[in-house]
Amino acid sequence: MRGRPVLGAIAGLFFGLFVALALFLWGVRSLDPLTVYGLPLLFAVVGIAGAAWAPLGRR
Amino acid sequence: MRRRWGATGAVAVLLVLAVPGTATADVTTGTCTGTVTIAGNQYTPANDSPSNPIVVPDEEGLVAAWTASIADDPSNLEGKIQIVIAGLGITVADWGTGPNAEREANGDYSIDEARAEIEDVVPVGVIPGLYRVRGNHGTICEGFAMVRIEGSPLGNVVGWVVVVGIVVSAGGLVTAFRSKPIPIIEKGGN
Repeated sequence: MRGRPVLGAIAGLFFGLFVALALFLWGVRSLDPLTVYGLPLLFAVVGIAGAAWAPLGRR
Repeated sequence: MRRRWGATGAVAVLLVLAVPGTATADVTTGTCTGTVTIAGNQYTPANDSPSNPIVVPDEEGLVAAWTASIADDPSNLEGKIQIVIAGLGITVADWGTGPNAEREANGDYSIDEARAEIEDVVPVGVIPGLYRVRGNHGTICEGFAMVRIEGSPLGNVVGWVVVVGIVVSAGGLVTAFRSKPIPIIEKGGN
């Protein structure tokens, strides 16, 4: 792991949750299980994978 | 906890029960039939998807006119209306019928009154968005509808919390995607 997988998982989880809420507020999707659970899990996986890849390099 | 939100319950009743029984999308079981008209638009069971919901405009003075009927005997049954969030139902209205319940009903109600009742209970007021609402009257009528409550998403604190949350969590992702600095090991010696 070149990046920060724990941070990636947590940030991805919350990012997915807030995106789900945004989709609900803007009338795109209801708060169905796929949206509420699926998006956070998806972005948590993206966060872990992105941390493993660490494409942004060092600051 | 069960709550009886008078007008809200009436809205939900018509959303779920007042739909033609000939369509199978909304009424999953039963022989319910009916319509609801809001702001000149009449809604039917076809309004059961995110792209084709029942729309409640963000306007004052709206009146919803509804009709409902059921072929089976609705007497001596209990029913409820729930908003479904993440697969869990939150009961917003429930009722029971006695003997010789009527099989047909209609009426008008004020959406302003429903909003006022919600604002009494929910601190941030009515939250705009796309809601899935389900309901039943015993087992003789069950169904769901999609309801989009219009309004500015940034018109209340929830919208702003979501925007800030997206920005902050995106920042966290960016940080996670950066390589960790390589520790510099200094050689010992004089």
